[in-house]
Amino acid sequence: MNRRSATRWSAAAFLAAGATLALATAAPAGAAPVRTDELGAIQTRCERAIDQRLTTLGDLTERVGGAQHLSADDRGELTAEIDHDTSGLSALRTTIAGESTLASLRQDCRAIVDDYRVYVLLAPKTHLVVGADAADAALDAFSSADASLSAAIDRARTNGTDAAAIADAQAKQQDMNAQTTRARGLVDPIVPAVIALTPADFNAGTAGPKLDSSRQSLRDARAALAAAKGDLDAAIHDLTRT
Amino acid sequence: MDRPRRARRGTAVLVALTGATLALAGCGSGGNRQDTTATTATTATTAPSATRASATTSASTATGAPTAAAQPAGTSTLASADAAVAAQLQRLDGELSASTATSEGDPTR
Repeated sequence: MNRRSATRWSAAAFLAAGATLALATAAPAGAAPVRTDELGAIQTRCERAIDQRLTTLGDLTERVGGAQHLSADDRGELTAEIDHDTSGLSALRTTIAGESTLASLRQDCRAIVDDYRVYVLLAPKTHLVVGADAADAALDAFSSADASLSAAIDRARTNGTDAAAIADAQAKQQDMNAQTTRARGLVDPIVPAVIALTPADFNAGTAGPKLDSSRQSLRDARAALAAAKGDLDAAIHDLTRT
Repeated sequence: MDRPRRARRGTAVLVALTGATLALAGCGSGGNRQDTTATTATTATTAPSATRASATTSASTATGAPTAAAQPAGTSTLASADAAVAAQLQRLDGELSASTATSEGDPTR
């Protein structure tokens, strides 16, 4: 079972647990008390839901660690959030294991989702920030390529390179720069838009649209960068073909 | 591209790498810039985003290859930048894919 399937299963299990809890709490006074093994089964499901989130948080930590262009502030903020969720969910796991009433257990299990929003907020937010970091790194590489391309074109003029090839390389360079300018405009707003989003924002319905629009911006930036890469490859071909 | 053609092109790029490395080193441009082999991703130090820290990855400078004065200048850093761009785009694809995967599905998550 892959992680996604496992997560869906976990969500389904959690909902089932919630339904069980709802039925249990809705039972009239004097009804048969909930069996201990039922309490234990719910505890196990909720603990599993926490364990899966802790695995995800570990993966996010690695991704943030591998991002080379993150500012110290952005890196610190993401790391602090991941650490906060890791310690909070670990403590919640201990609390859940010690619960003896359905009412308290229900509240604890609900908190796994509502108080942390690991899957729908922190994970996509981290991916978007690290993705923007990768786009920044690509843009810096394009900036270097632009300078090198100009130098190569200047040299090509003195080396007897075909004038048509030089003109084509210049045209590709111009389009490359237009594409990277567009990508820069799409990428720069992403981190400021998502970095401070909280579970409360998600619960209020304001975080989801920002994540969606930022994801679309990153996709559009990716398309612009791909076009710029095509221009760069074509310009290199123009200047190196014999 | 077939294998022999790719091999020829790779050889041409390697020769160009060395020649242009020497040329760039001689003119003193790009104080912190480092050339890399075509397979080593590097990031340039030029024009970092205002809100981002500039960073460079370790890079190996091509040495020991014959000089090639007739090679087009600038193809060394061009090849390096091209490889760096490709590496970062691949990384970007991974994050985009992961971002989409983690945000889909059950709203109770």
